[in-house]
Amino acid sequence: MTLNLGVSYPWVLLLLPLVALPWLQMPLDSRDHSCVAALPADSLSRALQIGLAVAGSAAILATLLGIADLHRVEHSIPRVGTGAHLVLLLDRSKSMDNTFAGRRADGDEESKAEAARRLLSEFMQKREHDLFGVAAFSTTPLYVLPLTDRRQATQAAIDTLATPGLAYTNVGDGLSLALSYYRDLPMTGSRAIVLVSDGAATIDFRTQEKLRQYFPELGVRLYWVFLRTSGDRGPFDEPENEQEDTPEAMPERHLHKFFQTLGVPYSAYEAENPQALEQAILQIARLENEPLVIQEKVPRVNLAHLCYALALGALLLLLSAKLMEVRAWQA
Amino acid sequence: MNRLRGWRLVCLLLAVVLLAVAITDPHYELEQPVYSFMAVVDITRSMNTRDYRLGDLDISRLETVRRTLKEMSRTLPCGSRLGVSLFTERRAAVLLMPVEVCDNYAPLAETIDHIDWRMAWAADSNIMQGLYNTLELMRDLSVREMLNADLLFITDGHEAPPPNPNYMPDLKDFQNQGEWQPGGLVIGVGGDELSRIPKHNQEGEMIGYYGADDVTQVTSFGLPEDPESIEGYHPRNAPWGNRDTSGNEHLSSLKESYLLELAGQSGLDYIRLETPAQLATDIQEQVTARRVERPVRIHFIPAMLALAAVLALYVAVWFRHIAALLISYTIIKRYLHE
Repeated sequence: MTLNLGVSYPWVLLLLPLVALPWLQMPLDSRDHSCVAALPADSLSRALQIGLAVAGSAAILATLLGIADLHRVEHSIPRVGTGAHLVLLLDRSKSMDNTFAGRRADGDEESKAEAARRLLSEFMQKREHDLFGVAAFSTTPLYVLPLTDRRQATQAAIDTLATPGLAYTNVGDGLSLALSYYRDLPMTGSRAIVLVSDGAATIDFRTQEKLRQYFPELGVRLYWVFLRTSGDRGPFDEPENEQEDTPEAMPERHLHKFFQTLGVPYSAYEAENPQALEQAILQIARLENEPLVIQEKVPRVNLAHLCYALALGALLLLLSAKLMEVRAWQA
Repeated sequence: MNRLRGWRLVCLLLAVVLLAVAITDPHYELEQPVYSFMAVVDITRSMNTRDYRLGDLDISRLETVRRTLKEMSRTLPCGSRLGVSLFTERRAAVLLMPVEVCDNYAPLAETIDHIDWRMAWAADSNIMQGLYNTLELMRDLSVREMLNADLLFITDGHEAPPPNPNYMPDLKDFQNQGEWQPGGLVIGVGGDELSRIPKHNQEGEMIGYYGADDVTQVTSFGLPEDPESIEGYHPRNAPWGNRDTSGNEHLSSLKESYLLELAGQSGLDYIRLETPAQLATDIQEQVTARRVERPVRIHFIPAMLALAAVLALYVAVWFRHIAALLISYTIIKRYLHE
């Protein structure tokens, strides 16, 4: 096991030769004696002398390490836990600014985007071992944030849902972008894209082929949280007649059908209000708990005060020796 | 030697007390300058113009902006925040709310690296409208707290198609509104000379440059200010007359005077992007820093004094010897002199 020690001010260590000082000079006062050679060489004095030198060296060494700010550096140790690599794919189209009832959001009722922002934030905060990435799409796909363990950054990305949406819904390119987050990433733990949208669109044939290839190849699952506006159609709606059953007329239903052909585990959740959205997110949380080798962060630990405590102990030894010192031969 | 004895005891006691203080890991609340920025990056076509140089390479305005933002994340004092937005069409889209730059450097740098002209959700660009809508967004109560940043509006000033000045918002709307004041910079990007604008296909490969016929050269939106004065004006068939429609809109340079005007109207400062390093430095001088108190560990101060006291314990005797030597030397010297 490595200790992962580090110092913040290495130049202080240039003073380390000072630890030799106690071996050159006793801190006690000398007494004149007519003939030192006449004094018997007793082992107790010898031991005391060495002991005091060791204590002095230890005090200087420990104080120097303290000044250099000795610490255990922040590091991570691999640990098997449960978690996932999740990419949140957010719909930034204009309609997300409306409420579930399809009205403009006002004080009483939150918009779909606001509900998604609130619940995704809670979801993220609860899942401490997951890595989160964020991608968004409107007319074009928007790379937002790579898969990261920096919660603050992920929160900042989710918070953009509080700002007005952009234009249209281009799901296909959004999915391609979200998939690209998993390239060059070691295969570990479960991988899933959580698509949060309030609408669907047709995906062109070329993109469909690409998605059918990459989803299984990269082993990414798909969750589709559909924020249904009342009166609108959803992925589970059945056509009333055959003529209506086209991707253009019922894009949600056809997108859902396409997702089922991806060859990876896929589930869709229809949320018609914030509570249903919460349920959908809870269900995803339950599913995405595969064993995963996670890098558990061991935070930095300051050791300076321990060094000082050690130095203090050594000094107290010296001090007691000092206080026991013979004042004068005559006494 | 008796006098030393008392002195040494004092040294030891002093060291003990100082170390005891150091063990408590004392802190000092130091006032530190930090910054908070929301960078709004123009990602319209003209930003692909390659009129910056990096060593022997011509690099695009957008690439220079990316380098600048990364340089800023590296050089801003820890505790500072930086967010990223994109500008195209007539508004800004927030990509990432401001995040602390040190702790989040790795993901933030990735976000910046991926800023691309292909993210544009519409092709045209109207900068005055864009700035107006951006300021409106920053003033919006629902996001003001989250943003809490100075604006960096980064653009070359090139608009496409050329806007009709009759349909422009008034940027002065934001001044003297009391509770919220726009703060920050308009940052001008690009060279003084007109340069060709690269043309790309959807895969992002460059396929040449824009020609004079590829772009709208003069405005034809809405109605002209005084139609009757335009040559060949006809209310239905030729509302903009038969004026010359040639121009240099397919070439691009930094429209500095226009940006200075916009900055002045909206109460922002203007600064020009010369090199990433220059801008990252200048920005800290141009923008008033926000002050935050940050606890700074100062355990090393009592510890250093304690160390000095401990060392004195050992070397004091030597000082006496050296002092004695020096004194005898001067005495002998004086004696010899006489």
